[in-house]
Amino acid sequence: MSFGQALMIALSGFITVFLMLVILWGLIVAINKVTSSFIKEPEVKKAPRRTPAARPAPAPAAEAVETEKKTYGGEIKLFNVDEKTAACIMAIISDETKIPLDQLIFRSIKAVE
Amino acid sequence: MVIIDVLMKIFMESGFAAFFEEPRYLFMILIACFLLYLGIRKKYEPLLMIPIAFGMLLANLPRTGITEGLIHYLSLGVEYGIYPSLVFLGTGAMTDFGPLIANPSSLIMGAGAQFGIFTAFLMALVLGFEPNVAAAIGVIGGADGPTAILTASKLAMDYLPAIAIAAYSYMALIPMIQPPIMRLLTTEDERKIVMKQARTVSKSEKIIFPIVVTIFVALLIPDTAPLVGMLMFGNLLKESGLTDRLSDTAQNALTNTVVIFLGISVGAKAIATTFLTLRTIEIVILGLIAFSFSTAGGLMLGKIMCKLTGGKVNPLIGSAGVSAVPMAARVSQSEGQKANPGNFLLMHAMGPNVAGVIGSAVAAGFMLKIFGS
Repeated sequence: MSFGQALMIALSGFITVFLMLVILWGLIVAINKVTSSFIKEPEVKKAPRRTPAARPAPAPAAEAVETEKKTYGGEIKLFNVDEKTAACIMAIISDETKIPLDQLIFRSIKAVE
Repeated sequence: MVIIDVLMKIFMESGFAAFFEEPRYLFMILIACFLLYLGIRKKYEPLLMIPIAFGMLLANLPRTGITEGLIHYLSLGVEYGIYPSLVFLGTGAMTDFGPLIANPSSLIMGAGAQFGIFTAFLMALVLGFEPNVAAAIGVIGGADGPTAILTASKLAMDYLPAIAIAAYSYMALIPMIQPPIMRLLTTEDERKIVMKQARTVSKSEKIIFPIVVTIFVALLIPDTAPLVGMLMFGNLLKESGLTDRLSDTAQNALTNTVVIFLGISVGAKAIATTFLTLRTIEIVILGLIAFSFSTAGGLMLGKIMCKLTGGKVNPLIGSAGVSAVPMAARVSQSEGQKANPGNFLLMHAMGPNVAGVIGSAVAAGFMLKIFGS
């Protein structure tokens, strides 16, 4: 095989990979269009947005202690943060601090605007 | 006298005496021990490095006959390309294609990061390797161990151990190989770019994606079917949400079992007589070149995307296109944070990262199509 032939093979291989992935790009866009037009996704539960008017009255001390215990039990309060973003944040913190997720306790995640 | 004769006979028939006939076995045992050291002490891809090194150790213990029995049968899984495809099944079950579906332009960076495959292929030809062997060596640049092993098992069986060891060694060394290239090819301002959060991907998209990709890619390049098909099957098990038991088995029990068989089999192919050659050193060097060029290719496409989007794409995520999930994405994250501590590129880099897995499978399929028997 001459170098010229090899060069042509390498070039056509690279172009094939590009073309294939560009077409996949198109397919992903098409899938998105189809699913958003024809398939109704179940509504995702969002964490309630806290507004000053809707802020609940301070809970009694005993109730607050109870809530605290629940939080330690694995419940996380999300404020204006969806579950996926919260999962990403937890993974990043775990990665950065080198502390396994099962040893980290998250009480709440709040979006700062 | 009789006792001395018996002891001499035992020694002469032992493996130790064989070292005098073929000292290269002893050298191979030392290499195996060094690889074990790298795997255990330095944590270089220990899940595969340790089985590979131990397979090498077993195969180079003279007069044991192990390569004709147990390991011979285990090796059939490599020769027929079964193990790499099953590893892909597990990889698919562990992979979230969400970041790629949310940002499909990542595919372009995944394609750019296959540049090293074709560069190394040309360089291997210049060094005098046969075209089929050069193609198998080039695939090291995909930074995808199972793909490199599958291609080598079909195109260059004699060079399989060197290719596999080079591929996995460099995958382990990604945090050392990539950062200097990333800093060389990007500016400080580019590295500081903060990317916007990608859109949410629906469940339906995640389910349809593996089905469509399998049909499309396998029909267009049939040689990719074992890899892409298994990758997407594993992903469908995960995303369907109805086959959790199968997904769990694919991710854990099956993958672990296959990795043990694959590692031992590949390591056992590294016999002194075929492994200790100048060609092995050349393959190791070509592998490094392939990795470096793939990283550069991904970064260059990242820079182009950065320009085209008016600075919305951080070029650092391009280097993650070299497969090696998720280590390459972590390197992008780490380099991005060094430039801007508030930069979180991990999820964005996962897009090119998983695109690279598909890209390297397509590149390998192309090589198999051209050079396969």
